[in-house]
Amino acid sequence: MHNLLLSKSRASLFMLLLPLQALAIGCGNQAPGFREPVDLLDSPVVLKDTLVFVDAHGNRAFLFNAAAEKPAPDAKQIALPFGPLSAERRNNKDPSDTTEEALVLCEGRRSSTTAAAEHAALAAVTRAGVVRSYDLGTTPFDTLVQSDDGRYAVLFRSGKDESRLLNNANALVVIDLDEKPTSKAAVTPKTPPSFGHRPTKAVFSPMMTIAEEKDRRLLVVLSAAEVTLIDLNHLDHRETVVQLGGPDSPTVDPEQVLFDAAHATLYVRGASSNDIFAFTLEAHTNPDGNDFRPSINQLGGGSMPRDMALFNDPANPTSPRLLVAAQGSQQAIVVDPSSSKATPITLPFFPSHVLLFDATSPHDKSQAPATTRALIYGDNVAAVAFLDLADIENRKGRNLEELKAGGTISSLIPLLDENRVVLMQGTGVSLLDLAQRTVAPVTASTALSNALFDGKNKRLWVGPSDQARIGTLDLTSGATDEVLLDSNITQLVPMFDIGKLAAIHTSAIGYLTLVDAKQPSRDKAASVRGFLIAHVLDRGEP
Amino acid sequence: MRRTTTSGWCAWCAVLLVGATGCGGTASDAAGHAGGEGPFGPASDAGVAFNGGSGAGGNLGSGGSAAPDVASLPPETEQTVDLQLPQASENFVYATNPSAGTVSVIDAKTLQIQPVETGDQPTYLRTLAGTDNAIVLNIGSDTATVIRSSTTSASKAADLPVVSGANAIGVAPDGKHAVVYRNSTYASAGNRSGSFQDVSVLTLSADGKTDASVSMTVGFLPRDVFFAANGKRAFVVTRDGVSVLDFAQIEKSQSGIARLVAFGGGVDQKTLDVAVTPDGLYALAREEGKSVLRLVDLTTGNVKTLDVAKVYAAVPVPADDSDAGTPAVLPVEITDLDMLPDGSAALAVLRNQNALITLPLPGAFSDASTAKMRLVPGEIVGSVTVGPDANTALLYTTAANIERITIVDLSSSAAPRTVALQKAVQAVAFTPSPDGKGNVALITHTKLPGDPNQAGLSVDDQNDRSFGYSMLRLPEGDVKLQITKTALGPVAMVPATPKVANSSFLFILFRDDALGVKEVYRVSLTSFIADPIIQLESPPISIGIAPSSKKVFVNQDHPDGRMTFISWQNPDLKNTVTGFELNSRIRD
Repeated sequence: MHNLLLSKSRASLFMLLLPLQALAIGCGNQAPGFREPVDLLDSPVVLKDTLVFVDAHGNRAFLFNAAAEKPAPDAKQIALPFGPLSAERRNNKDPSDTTEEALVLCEGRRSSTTAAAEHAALAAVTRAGVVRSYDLGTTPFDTLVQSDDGRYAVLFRSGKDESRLLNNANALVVIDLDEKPTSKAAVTPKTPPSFGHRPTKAVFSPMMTIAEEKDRRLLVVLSAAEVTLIDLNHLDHRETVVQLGGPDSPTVDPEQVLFDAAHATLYVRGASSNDIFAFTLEAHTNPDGNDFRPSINQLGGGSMPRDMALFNDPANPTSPRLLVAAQGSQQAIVVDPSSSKATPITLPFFPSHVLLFDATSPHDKSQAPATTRALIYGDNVAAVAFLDLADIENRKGRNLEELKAGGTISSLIPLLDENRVVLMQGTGVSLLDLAQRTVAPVTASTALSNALFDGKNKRLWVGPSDQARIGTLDLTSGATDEVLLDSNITQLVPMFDIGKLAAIHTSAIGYLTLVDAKQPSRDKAASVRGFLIAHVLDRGEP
Repeated sequence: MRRTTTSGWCAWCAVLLVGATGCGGTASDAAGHAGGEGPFGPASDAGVAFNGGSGAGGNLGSGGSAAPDVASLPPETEQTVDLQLPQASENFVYATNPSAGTVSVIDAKTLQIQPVETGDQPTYLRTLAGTDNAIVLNIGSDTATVIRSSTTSASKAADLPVVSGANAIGVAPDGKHAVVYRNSTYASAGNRSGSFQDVSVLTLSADGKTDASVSMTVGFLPRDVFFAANGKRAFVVTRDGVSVLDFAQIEKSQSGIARLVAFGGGVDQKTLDVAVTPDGLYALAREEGKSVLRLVDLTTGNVKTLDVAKVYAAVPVPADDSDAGTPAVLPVEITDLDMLPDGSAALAVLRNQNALITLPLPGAFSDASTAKMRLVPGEIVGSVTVGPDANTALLYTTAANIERITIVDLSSSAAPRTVALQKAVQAVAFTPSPDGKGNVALITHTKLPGDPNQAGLSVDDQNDRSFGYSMLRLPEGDVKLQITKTALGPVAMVPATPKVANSSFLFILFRDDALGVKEVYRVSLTSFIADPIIQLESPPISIGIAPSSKKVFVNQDHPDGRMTFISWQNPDLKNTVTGFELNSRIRD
């Protein structure tokens, strides 16, 4: 392994300067940022070959380029708006789009005796370190949700804020990231009508035709008892708020939304409701509000529905079906939204999740095409169930097949391109082949975490916390291997686009190891240390 | 008294005949009777959740072949209709949402739901026959909202003030007027202060621009409303007599006191059972337990009486050679009185005498000799139900375990013909036969106490202890028994589709919460065969017809409202809307 520290001369100089710095502390007149501690946000953001580390305390970001075979312990430092809270990669609408940005949510600050107030902001940072900042006003938002294509972002506050005297809990902001920050259309503040609940979640719809207008998108904001519809194509329209709670069930706690774009319908499942709410969007005349209105129907979702998926049965291609995991009634429920007919299928365990996939099955005749099927599994259940969805409403339990998983499942990583799924099972993983319906267990000596799938190299990476080893599982051959590092791992960060995996280690000065993703070995790994302090002596200089 | 299109457990009658005439709804009817409250559904003010009658038949005389003592039999039984349940117009179904102050207007074809804002606590609703309009009483604001719906535009609503405490609506057959009043006999009447003699007469214009409400004073405690077939007048039955509402006069003179027509002295008008002829010329009344009938001319106020006992006494009874002794002389009492659909005659049943007397109206009150009597020797008959064509009547008793029913041809002097059944009769309803000839009767049967699955019972005893119904074709007398899990609930009849064979059906609801029964039966009126059971997701409350969509709708017991629409011709085609009340909770 190659350890890449600061150059000897600079390191020596740094060591020499340390005592001088200590003296300087007592003497004042120090450059800003000279000795500020670094408080990095949990995860760096990967922008192709660049890792963006956001320092919440220093209101700055460090951009570390990992492209070189032996990267220098250097990071470009850029200033950010005050109070970074979170950072994530901006979704790419076009895979060929090379523009990559990190979105950093900054909460701003109120005025103090030593500093003026600063507005909250959303900063978009490129790999080159160019920052454009969207002014969010005085409300300190703490939650950022992006649309799948990265065009829109919505910010709201989901938790209490005790840093302000007063807060409008229902304020939110919609940002069009394709617009420049100075554009009027870039930032749209909204305060939908409230019925005593704050936003808990936001979801963006796909393109839909609504009220005969094509390519329309909605922002759906969920709160404990309401669903709010905001028309992204007409942000000047008043919102439509649907109160789902009633006298008998004041809160529904909506938590999942599915969209049927072909029928301008969305389905909402609530954690505190046994019903699935179908919203069919119909044209509506409303001068100041939306030109559509939902017609609502409640569909039976069994008892305690915990997950749902929308699929098309070949027997009824124009009429989609909902598949609901009804945990309380130990059933999978197939719901026909057009008739509200619900077909229950008893399961051998209490289900929590549904995963749809297209594959053949071992029971198919040869040359049979892949069809849509479902994998149903439950939290901490040691089995899964395959449900073939073709003609399911007639065949019911005959389309069900249970498979023991060899251990309770804590989580699942879908590798649908491979027709496989990785089952995380405490001290081990299992590789589930969806087409063959087989399970191959891989045991581990310790609890596994940080599991990552590398699609390019067909490899699974696991990095137990507080250990200095990375485990690999070749998905093609099933072979396992390990790479020993020099320090315990805090986090694994995939950089598979450039053929690397970054293992982050705990360090105040910045310490990571870049592992070759194609041929992982200790020899080919490169450690980089001190990139957070690379320019510490330069800070404050004009 | 049982009117062919009115109250009584002829809730089925009402729906059946409505179905035959092509109008939608559960309680709207062709001859313009206001209807009353009924037992269907937990929302019913009568408090009985769901049944087609007394259920277990505890008051029946002893079963088996031994003839009961007719003199000791209890009275015959009747039921009524609930106004609070969803109603249907030609294209829409209306459901009230009292807590939200809205009415959900459900398009029966597309199932789109449109909430319409009304006054406070919309509760009692009636549709206007042949239209897509409805009236709802808002008990929280003492107003009525007229809702006018359209398949091409949004529903419109207009409010009119009505009498405080109103809980009943009567709609004229032409849909141009309605009478809103407080019926003290309904459990929902409550104990409200104020006047017990006010009604509101609503004038309904075609476009809604000249809708109006006029308050009128009527007799004390109105309990029923009839309308003339031409829709020009309404007749409010009160404790003081019949108050006549002339709509043209009211529109001209506005508020006033309605002309009161009493039934003469010496009669307790509080307990009179009253019906009005469809032409609006006469009102017929009887007192329970007495043989005297009263006919009042609603125009002149003249009252004539007719003692049916004297009519009976005037007719010589043929001697029976098999009599072992002097027959007992039983008092002459009218146990049931039914008016023909056209009001041309009334049928009186004298159970103690096994007789049916046909009384031409008004002729028999001037010349008793015009009365015609038919005897049904050897049979106990206490109730009558007249067919919609007025050619046939069925005689039976609901007070004894008699497993027979007698067919009477009213159009000729042919002797009555008795048909054997497998179980005793609880109630009877008529439907026109699909082929247009004759009629079909739906007979619900009484269930005797006991477990039908008890070991050692004969088939007859098992049947007697079971719920069930029979279909009877008239005049042929073909009859078929169907045993069911629970008592029959509300029934809807759908008319035959032209040129489509076997296309007329009855839809019957069944509900038993303890047994988990929540079903719909579709029964062919041609073959009497019942389809495979249609299962519902929630217990059913009521059923109605949405004519233009060719569906029946079943209102179910669900906290947020649930309604299932079932295709007449293909019951596999079902659509359910749930939570239509949620649609009134949208803010935009």
